[in-house]
Amino acid sequence: MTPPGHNPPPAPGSGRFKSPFTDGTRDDRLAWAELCNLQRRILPQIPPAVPGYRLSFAYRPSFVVTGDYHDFFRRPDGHTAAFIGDGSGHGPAASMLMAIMRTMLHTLDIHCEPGDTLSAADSRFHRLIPPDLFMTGVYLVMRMGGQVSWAAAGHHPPLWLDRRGQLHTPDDLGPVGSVLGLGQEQYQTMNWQLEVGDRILLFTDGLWDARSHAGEPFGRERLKEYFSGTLDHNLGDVVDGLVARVTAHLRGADFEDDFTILGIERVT
Amino acid sequence: MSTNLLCEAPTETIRVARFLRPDIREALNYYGHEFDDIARSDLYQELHAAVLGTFPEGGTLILNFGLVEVLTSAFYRLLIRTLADVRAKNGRLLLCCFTDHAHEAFMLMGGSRTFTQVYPTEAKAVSEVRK
Repeated sequence: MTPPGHNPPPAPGSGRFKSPFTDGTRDDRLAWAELCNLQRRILPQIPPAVPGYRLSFAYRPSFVVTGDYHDFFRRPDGHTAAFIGDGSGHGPAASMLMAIMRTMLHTLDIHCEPGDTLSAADSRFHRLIPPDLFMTGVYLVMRMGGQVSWAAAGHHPPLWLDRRGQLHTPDDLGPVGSVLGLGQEQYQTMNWQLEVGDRILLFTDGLWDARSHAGEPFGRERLKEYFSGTLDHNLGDVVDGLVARVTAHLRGADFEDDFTILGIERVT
Repeated sequence: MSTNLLCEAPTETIRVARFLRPDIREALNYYGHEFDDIARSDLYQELHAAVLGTFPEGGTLILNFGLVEVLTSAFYRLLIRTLADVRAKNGRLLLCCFTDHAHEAFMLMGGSRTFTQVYPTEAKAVSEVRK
């Protein structure tokens, strides 16, 4: 086994390297701005119109660019799919992973059952990235009549809040398959039947793992508790309110990771 | 290099590495950022110097997570890299003693699908190897 080289990367400045727009040369700042703008331009800024559903989302990079990836796909079967995922790491390196995944999902004919879609993505991603990098994600298909199917790869499963206020999510995390990029997983497809008024929440770990100055994460339980009590609010307010709730938990601490939230409600 | 690991070799073919701090992010990152190659991190370098560099053919590595509270994606990358290193020597990687927090993160990353040998205690992991 060859010992790996231990060449420290160039120090990007003091502190957490959070302000590329103010540090560095003018050319550096312009390059960052271009990268930032490009990523904004390739990511959806508003959710698509999906027959039978209402969608609302929010995302916030912790750095100039993000490894978080959200997207929507009109599938060959006419239904709409959503993908929400997270490249390992943060910042520019993670943004390359999301860009590769975006290219794959937009160009390859892999939009079938969610588990099969993620298995195909896993296999191809494995050939394209270094072996210690990966991406997590949930792929979810919204069909007419409230039938929703999804698969999860190293990612928190969706939360399902029914119109009676009952929260559903796999407690044992059994349906969660390996992270994307290891190239050998057969992901499980889960099927849920939503009634009108039922809601689903998808999110990345930067949300529930956001930590206060004391190091306390917001946590999955707080997230579930919050979502459980939101039936009386419109979906957009639920998403915005969750961002506010997590921000309040931080009490001035920075978000250390990107986060993305996608809310889905069956309306007809 | 700070000490993040305590490593032992109970037999010629078994290596045990115990992580010594609840939060080892500093040894996995630089200036708050993950390395593009996790093998450049201090923690991997430490593990390599203590165990992986001299890992015996067909050996077993047991990683003890008893003190680890924060298992980040960078840490998970280190596990994936370590698994590849151990497999390259036709060896086995066993994990043990997860705390609740670390186990939750591990499960959310689908860890049980990739790392199939997980034990509640180090003793049980060692006894499994000796079967």
